[in-house]
Amino acid sequence: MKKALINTIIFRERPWMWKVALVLILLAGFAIRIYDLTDLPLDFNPTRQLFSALKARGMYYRYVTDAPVWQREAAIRLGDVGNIEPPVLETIVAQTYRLTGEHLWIARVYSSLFWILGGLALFLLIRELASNGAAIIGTLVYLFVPFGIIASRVFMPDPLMVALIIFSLWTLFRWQNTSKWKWVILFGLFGGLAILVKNVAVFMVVGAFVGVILGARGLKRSIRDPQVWVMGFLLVLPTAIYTVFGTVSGSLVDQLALRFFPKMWLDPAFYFRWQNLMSSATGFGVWMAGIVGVFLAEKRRERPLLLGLWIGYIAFGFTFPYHFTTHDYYHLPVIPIAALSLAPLLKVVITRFFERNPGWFPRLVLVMLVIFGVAVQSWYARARLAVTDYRNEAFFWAEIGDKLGHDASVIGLTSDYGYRLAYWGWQGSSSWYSGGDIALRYLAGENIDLAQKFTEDVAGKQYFLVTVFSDFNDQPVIKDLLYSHYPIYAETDEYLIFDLQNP
Amino acid sequence: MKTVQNYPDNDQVPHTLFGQSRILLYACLIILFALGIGFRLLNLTNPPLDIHTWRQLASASFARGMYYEMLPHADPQIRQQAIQLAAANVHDEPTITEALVAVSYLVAGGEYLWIFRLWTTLFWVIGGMALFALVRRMTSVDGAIVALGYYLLLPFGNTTTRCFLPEPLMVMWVLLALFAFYRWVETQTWKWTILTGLLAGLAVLTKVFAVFPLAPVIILVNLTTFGLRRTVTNLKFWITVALAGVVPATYYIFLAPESAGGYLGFWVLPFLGRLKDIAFYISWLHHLNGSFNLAIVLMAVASTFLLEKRWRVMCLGLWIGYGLLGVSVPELIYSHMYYNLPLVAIIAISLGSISALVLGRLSEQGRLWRVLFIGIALVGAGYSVFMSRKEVVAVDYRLEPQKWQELAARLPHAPTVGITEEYGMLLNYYGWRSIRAYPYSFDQDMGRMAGHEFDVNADNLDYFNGHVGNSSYFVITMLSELDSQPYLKKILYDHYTIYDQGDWYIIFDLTNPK
Repeated sequence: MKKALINTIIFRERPWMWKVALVLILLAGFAIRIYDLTDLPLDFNPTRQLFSALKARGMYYRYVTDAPVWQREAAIRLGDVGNIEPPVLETIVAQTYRLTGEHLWIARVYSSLFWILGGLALFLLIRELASNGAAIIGTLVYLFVPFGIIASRVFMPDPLMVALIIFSLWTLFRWQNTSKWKWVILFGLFGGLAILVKNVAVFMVVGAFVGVILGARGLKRSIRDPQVWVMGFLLVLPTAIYTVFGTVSGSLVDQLALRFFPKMWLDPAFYFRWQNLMSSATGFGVWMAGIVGVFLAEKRRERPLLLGLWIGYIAFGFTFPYHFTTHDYYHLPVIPIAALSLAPLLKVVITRFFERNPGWFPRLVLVMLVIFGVAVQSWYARARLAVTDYRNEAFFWAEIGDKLGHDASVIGLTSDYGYRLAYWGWQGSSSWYSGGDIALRYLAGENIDLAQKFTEDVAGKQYFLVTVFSDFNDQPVIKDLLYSHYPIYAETDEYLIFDLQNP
Repeated sequence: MKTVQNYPDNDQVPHTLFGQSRILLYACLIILFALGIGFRLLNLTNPPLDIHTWRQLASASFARGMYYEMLPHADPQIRQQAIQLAAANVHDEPTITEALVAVSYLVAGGEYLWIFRLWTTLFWVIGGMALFALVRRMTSVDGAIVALGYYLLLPFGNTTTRCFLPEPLMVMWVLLALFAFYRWVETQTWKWTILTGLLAGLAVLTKVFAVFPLAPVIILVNLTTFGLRRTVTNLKFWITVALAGVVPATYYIFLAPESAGGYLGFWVLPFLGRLKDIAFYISWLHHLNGSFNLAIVLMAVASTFLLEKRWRVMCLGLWIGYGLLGVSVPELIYSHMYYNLPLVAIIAISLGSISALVLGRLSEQGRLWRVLFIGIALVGAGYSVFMSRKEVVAVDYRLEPQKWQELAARLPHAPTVGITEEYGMLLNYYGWRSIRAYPYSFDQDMGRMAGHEFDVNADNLDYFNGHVGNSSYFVITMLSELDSQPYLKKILYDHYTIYDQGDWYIIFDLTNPK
């Protein structure tokens, strides 16, 4: 009788328990992401992060009136790095700098916050799809896979994109279940924003949308439904405007090149690398369980959304095969996809678990297992963040920038295409081909005469800077040209500057 | 075909995916066993130098010694040498697999080292059959198929069970004992009583660590199923325990008492302090994650709660046993990953219930989805094997034996100490030379973890002399160790002349100091 009483008191469904759990989870997810907050953004895809950092600084310095003239001009000039996507996050950060001063970690806070908000939307979605218990576990997976912790605190548009994708999925599912105009507009808003922030979101958003239309609503019914047309219109409108403007002005044309390599589809290594990256993102067990979840999903209610998402992700991979297998952050969206796909599986298992285990001990064990899993994953992420301190890099590049004079004409084989030099050294530079660049061009079928290219690229330049010695040593032609034709301007164990003005 | 297993609280026959068609079931079983066996026989004749080399070659040397001892017309000198080389290795457990391999050499007419892979594969397959039968009874045919697939195709298990180790045989006996014990709990007959005791005893005899999974299972299941009083007064329980104890006790207490003491004194007691160090648990988990995937491990533990109470206790007993194994040998559990081989079976058994549940639900889906799922599962299984294949075929070691034979030919016939790969086992097995092993730098690190201190500086020759003993020559093939032990490098170069030198070895003459 005592046992029954305890079970009644402790396990009677209490909505506030789930809310408290969710708040704690979101707070913990945010807390792990602001660990080592002020370290430089060189831990994950530094090129892309510095691209955004330079852009944001350039925007900010337009408002800074008390900086030295050369610095202000340099910031604005160096911040003009072109556009890959609309600079949404950069604009937010730059405007924040106006209140706080320039602190790179502000971008980390924003990205982490966006990811956490995405977690909230994911919880709401999974709860509607399955149950509170499944929602808690799915949200924990989303928030605490180590790759996700690292990759969601970066100065890149991807965390915001993923958060907006999740919100769009939630509103899509709500629309599927209610057919209300509120959810039509919200889906269009979130989906359109997701695609605007980073256009590759189109694969997941449209994939889910098409899945719901074909699987849950039916094609004929959807064609006759004005809500569907409004949703489609709202999805494409923001990006269409931006894309047309970008194409006309020429700034976006180049990004479509060097990305589509269909011959990679025939290479088995493509699929192995894909699987490796996917497993790195979520863990093999998670995405595999997610696939099983799709099979367990209810045919008309759950499966269309999930299947549409997975097909969208797969289409994404086939469209950008080279980057998909070389750029790990392309797999950030698979984290919420896998977490969401767990829902049907979790629903089945948790239901059976509670049927078989009415007592408190098994439930306590389950909770402890979940907490243990979260703690271990958080520890892995923390260890990875703690292992390297990049703060000294700022001083290193400042030294080089001072040596070059900040306004010299420089070409270099340096880290991250010269972005580190630009950001901390306040010195612009053009980039000589890295080994990866050469490989990519050969893959695209281009034949490069390196010596001729070198002659063309150094024309008019004052210095050739080398900091990536591994790439330098892998290009004996260029190494020989430099050593035999140009004196050394400055040299240490970590950098080498050739004087191109006095051959 | 039996599709109803232990569902005492459910009168309905559960749906099963693989139980719907005998052809499908047998086809999947054939595919799983074919993949499991086929992989393990891949690159069959490649020398066992990929993983756990020193341990494999120690067994190989032992098997060779036994073979030559039994070989009727062996050259007496070679026989003597083979026996001496085998005796240079210490074995803590009875050399059962080695004896089987030696007998196989006699039957095959020669020392074909790859024969051990046939035996370890056979052990693992027999264990798989027991596992399938056990999980099928505990859950359903669906749970059994998934458990068997995991057991046969996990990359860690694939590569480790190709090794010349006692573990595959131990796991086989453990699984057979678990099945027998399951049947004993169900039937309480004398047949299963005796079989359980004997099989458990054989498991513990093969490797004493089998006691860790078996003891908690037998004790806990009895207590939860029959209660304390009935257990204590049950003669069959005591007969089982007695048989399980007598068989290994015969060896470990009466025939080779020093092996147990040696193990405890060297690997267990000095490292118990590590249990207070959180870094130990983190490293353990990290290695588990690498070989087993932590999400699957946690899923397996949670899955045990879907079982009927007594079988849940059995699974939890297995997990408790694995935990006890880990804390009893804290230095070995992740530095010698083959100690985790029983975990393959434990996870497989544990996954049975969740697999049965999930596949049961899948069986209610339309035919297209069922076919698609099975197709994807088979692709996944094939992929797992293919990824394991890389490790097996990546390196061809067939030229290694000749290299060590050549080195052995250069070594003078005098007592020799050395720092060579795998504690001198490559020289022992392929070069037919036994040398005294000088400690590696990482052995000294491990010693420090156990609380030992070493005064290793070039001015203090005590440590050096203590390990060199009366050796006349010092051979080094791990040249990086000279940089890792700079005091040693200074002593050797300052005090001794070089007898012979090549690209990959140096031999110092200790008989003529400078």
